[in-house]
Amino acid sequence: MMSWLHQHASAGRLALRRLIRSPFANLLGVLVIAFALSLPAGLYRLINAADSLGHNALQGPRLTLFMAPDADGTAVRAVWDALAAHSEVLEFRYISNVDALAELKANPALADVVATLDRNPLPHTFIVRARDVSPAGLESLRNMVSGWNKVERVQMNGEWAKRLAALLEFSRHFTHGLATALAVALVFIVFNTVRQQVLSARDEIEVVHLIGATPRYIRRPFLYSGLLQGLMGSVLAFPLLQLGSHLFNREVEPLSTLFSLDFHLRPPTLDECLLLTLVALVLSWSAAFLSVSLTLKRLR
Amino acid sequence: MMALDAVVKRYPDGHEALRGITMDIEDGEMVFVTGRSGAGKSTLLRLMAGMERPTAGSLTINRQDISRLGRAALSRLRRNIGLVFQDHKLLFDRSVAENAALPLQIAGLYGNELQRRVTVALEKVGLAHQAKASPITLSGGELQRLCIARAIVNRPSLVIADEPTGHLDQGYASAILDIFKSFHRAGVTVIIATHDETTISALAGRIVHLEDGQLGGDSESDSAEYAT
Repeated sequence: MMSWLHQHASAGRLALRRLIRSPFANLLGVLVIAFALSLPAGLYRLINAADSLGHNALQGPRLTLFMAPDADGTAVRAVWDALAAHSEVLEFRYISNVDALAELKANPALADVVATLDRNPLPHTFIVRARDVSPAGLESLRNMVSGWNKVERVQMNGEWAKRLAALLEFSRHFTHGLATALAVALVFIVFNTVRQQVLSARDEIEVVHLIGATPRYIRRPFLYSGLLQGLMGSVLAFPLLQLGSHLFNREVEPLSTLFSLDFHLRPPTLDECLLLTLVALVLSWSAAFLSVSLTLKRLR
Repeated sequence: MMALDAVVKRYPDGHEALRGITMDIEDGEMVFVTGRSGAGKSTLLRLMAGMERPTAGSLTINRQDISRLGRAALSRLRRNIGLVFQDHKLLFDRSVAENAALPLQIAGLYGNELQRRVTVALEKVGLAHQAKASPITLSGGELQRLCIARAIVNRPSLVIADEPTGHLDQGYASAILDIFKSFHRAGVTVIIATHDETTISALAGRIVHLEDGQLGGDSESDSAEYAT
């Protein structure tokens, strides 16, 4: 066991030595890996923040039912009873045309205009909160209540949230594509770096092969080299993510305050950091394995 | 120790380097493989060292048929064979001691035991005082002695050397041959490929002569110096 650990430690040291041997080229590679990891990770976090914003907005989507001008108390009562009995209605509020006009009169800016009216032009109104707040659920409820007697118009006030959801869905697909492309780039970078290392260590590989090194022993330092690149790239990706979040929050804060929105990017959690590191390690190890196997096969 | 039965080695370009070699080598034997350039000496040594496999026939080393061994098993078999190359095959970015330690590291040894064995091997070839030096600073003879130290550090039962005195002057060559003589006396099987008459006359042993890839002769040589 100790011997096995010692061999792995030696392979790790050798890999580090090979990386340090050409520091500039390898640092550039690690930087590119860090960007390749932090860019999609940052985009995912941005989308999640926007998604949460849209979700919060969707918590209170409402339908506003405007009754016809000639709707009398009986018609209003019928709608009231229908809403109270409907299983898809979570709660509703009734605003009579008298109360609505009184509200307008109470507004100093509109009081003069309202005073000139010879009759009350406002309709009786119901504000309804649905049980199912999904766009499909709201649409279904709207279609139903639209057909009720003396209901002239039904307005859904969550339209913008629906559009945001569609935009986020598109962004999510776009980020998936970008993440895949950048994962391929990461694999390519590690593949190429390891290939260069194998080629420049050709003589050493020949010697250790001749004196009894197994293929696994020969591959090991190159696999560690790939892992080290992935690890360094992911470690460097965290401050990049932090910096990106900080700059974004600084720019978006005045806008959030203006619209009373809680829209900001939070620092990455430990789980997210671990996941990012794991993804980087798996990709870089796979790239190194592929590279060293193919290059050694060619050398043989 | 080793048995070759109708061994043929044919390369992808069609060149047949060995054609039906049959011979046995017993434990503790000193064997010289001789012949002109291109006779197949190096090919035969590469097969005996498990670096290549025969195209036809069988070659068994310590009762293991190398044609049936996988790549990893063949590598492990090579750990028990000390190899001395004419062109040394040393790593010039490592110290003398690090070069000598390579077979032990591959075998999984480390720490004090590794240091001790490296020191013993370097002392045997007279390089202990240069353990920390770079091989770049060594002379041709010293490089060859370092190569020998690396070959014996793992205490192999078989040492194979390809033209070990090829590029050396008489003084250095004599020192190298003395080292091989001491291995043989210690019971190690030694196989040396050479076309150098001085080497053969300096040591007593069996002479296997190759001619155009075939066994051209198999005899014993005597050396008065060796007998003493």
